[in-house]
Amino acid sequence: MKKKLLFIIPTLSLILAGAVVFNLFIRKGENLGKGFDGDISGSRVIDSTGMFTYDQDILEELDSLAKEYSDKLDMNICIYLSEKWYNSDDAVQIFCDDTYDEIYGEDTDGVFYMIDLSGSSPARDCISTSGKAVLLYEKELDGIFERINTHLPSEGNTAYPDDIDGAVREFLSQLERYGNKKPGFFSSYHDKSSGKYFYYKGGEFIVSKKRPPVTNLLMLLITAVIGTVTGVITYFSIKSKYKFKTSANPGVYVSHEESRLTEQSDTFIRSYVTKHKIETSSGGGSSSGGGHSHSGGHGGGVHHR
Amino acid sequence: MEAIEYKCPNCAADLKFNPESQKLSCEFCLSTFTEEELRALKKSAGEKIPDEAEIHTQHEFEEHTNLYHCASCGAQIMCDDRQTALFCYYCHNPVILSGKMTGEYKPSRLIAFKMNKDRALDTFRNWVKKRSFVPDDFRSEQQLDKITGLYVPFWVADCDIKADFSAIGKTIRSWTSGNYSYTETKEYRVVRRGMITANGIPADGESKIDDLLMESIEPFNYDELQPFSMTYLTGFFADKYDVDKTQVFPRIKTRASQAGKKIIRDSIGAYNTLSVSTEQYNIMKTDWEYMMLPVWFMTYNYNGTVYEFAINGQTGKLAGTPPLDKKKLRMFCTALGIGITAALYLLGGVIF
Repeated sequence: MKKKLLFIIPTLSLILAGAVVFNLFIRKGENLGKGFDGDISGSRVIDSTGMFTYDQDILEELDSLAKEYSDKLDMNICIYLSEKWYNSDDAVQIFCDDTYDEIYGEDTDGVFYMIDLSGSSPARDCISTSGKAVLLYEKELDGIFERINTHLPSEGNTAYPDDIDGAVREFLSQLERYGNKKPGFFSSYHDKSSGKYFYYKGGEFIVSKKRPPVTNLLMLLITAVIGTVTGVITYFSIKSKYKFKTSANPGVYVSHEESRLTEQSDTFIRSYVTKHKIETSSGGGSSSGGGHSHSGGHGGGVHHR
Repeated sequence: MEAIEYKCPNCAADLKFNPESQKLSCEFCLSTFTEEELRALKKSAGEKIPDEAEIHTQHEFEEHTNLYHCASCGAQIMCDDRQTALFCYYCHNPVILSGKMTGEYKPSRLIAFKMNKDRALDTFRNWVKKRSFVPDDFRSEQQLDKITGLYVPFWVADCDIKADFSAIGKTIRSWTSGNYSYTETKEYRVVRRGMITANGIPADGESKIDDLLMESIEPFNYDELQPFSMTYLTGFFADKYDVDKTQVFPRIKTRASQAGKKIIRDSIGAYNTLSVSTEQYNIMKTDWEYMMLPVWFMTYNYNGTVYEFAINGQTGKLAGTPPLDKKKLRMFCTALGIGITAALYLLGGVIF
C-alpha cells in the first residue's frame, strides 16, 4: 500500500499540476461583458406609482437628467418608483436584477435603482448593478444608500415628489462620484450565483467565468504556501521515523521476590488553601446573509428605510 | 575435540546445530539428533564417549576455535575450526586467520539460536516493508545475504542495589464556590529505603556494536541458558570480547540504577508534584557471568554511515536505524506539496 502511495501521489500531483497550468496559461476566458451601446434613450425614470401625474415636468426633468448621466458615465441608468412591496430582500433583488436584464440585456453596463413607495414596512430600496457598474459601485452601496436616505422619508411616512426629486438627484450625483474613480489593481467582484467575475485587465473591462489573473496569482501563492508547509511537515515527520528507537527497560531484571523495601512511608506534613476571585466577562453578536440565482451577472444591495 | 566427532551416524557427514529444532541435523540425509541421542548411539556402537564435563573443557575450546582478524575494522571473529570465516560480519571486508583462541574467552554458558536465517530474514523484510524511504539496494538480496548469525559476548551482572529516596509529594484539589475558586494543597514526606535485587543485567563486551542496539533487542530468556558447547557454534560466528567487565561496569551501574529507580517510582502513589530531595542507588554487590547470546546481525554502509541492525536470535525482537534516502523523500514531499497546491487551487476555483 505504501509503495503504491509512492507511485500514486507523484502521478496525481503531476496530473493536478497539469490541470493548473492549463487553467492558468492555456484556457482562455471569454469576455462576456457587452458594455454600453451608447444609446442613452434607454435610460429613464419609471413611475409606476402615479406620483408624478400632476408633476410631469419634474419627472421629465429627472428623466433627462438620467439620460445626461448615462451619457457621462457610459452606462444604462434606470430609476424605478415602485408601489409594490416585496416581502424579502432576495425577492426585491431578484426583481431588480431581472428587470434590468429584461430592459438592457445581460452583462451590459448599467444600474437599476428601485425606490419602494409602497408605504409598507420596511421600505426596501434596492440597487442592482450590471457590467462595469458592479465593480464601480459594489463596495460603495452602503454610502450611496446613506446619502440618498437623507432625502427620503422614514418608513410609514408619505413620500412627496420633491423627496423623490432630491433622492434621484443624489443618486445620480453619487453614481458620478464613484463612477470616475479608477478601480484598484486588485479590484474584482465575483457573483457567486452566476459564477461570473468582474475585473479590469489592461484597461479593458472583463466579465468572465474565469478568475481574474491577479486573483489566480494570489490563490496560487496561498495554495503554494499551504502545499509547501504540508510538504515540509511531511518531510520532517517521515524523517523523524527514521531514527533509532530504543526500547530498553532495565526494570525487567528486577527480582521482586528478592527485593524488599525496609522503609516505605508517606507522612502527612501540612495542608493549606488558597482563594482567588473569579473575573467575569461578556461577548457580542453575529450576522448572516443569503443569495439567489439568475443568469446575468449582477451586484447590488437592498436597504431598509 | 568432541566438536569434530559429531558426524551423522547415518551418512557420516558433519552435523550442524539447527536453532529451530534445537537439535543437530544432517544436511545430506536430513537426520536430526540430540546430543544425548548421539552419545547413546555412539555408546551402543562401542565408541568411547567423553562425558559432558569432558566435552566442555577449556582445552576443547582452545583446540577447535579459530580466531579471524579483520584488518579493516579490527573485528575479531571466532568460529569452530570446521568452518572458515571469509568476511567480517561488521564491515564485510575479507578476514584473515590469526590463530587459535585462548581459554579465557570461553564463555561459561550461552543461549542457542532459536531463529534460523530464513526466519531472521523474514523478520527483517517485514520491518523494512513498513519503511518506504530506505535506499533501494537496502532491500536487495545481496544486502540481505550479509546477515550473520553471531554469538555476541555479554557480561551479565546480578546486582544488589541499595535505594535511598526521599521527596515532598503534593496533592492539589480545586473547586469553586460563589465568585471564588479554592485550591487545597496537601504535602507529604515520601520516603523509600531498601535493597533491590536485579538479576541478569546484560552489557555486551564488543566495542564496535552500539550498546543501545544491543539493549534494544533485550530481554533474553535466561531460562534457556545452556552450558557452553562447541556444538552451538556450528554454522554461526562468535565475537571475541574487547571490553572487559571492569569497562562495562559503569553501564551496568547505570542500568541497575534505572532498574532501582523504576521500582521506587512505581511504589509512589499519584502525587500532583514530587520534589525529590534525595535519590541514591548504590550497588552493594555484583556477581558476574560471561556468556554468549545469539544475535542476527547486519550492517549497511550508506553515505559514509554504518547502520547496524540486530535481531534477537532467541525472541526475534529487531532493532536498528533505518537508513533514509533523503533524495527519494525530498522528491516525494515535493510531489505531495505540488499535488496539494494544485488540488487546493482547483478546489478553490470550484468554491470561490
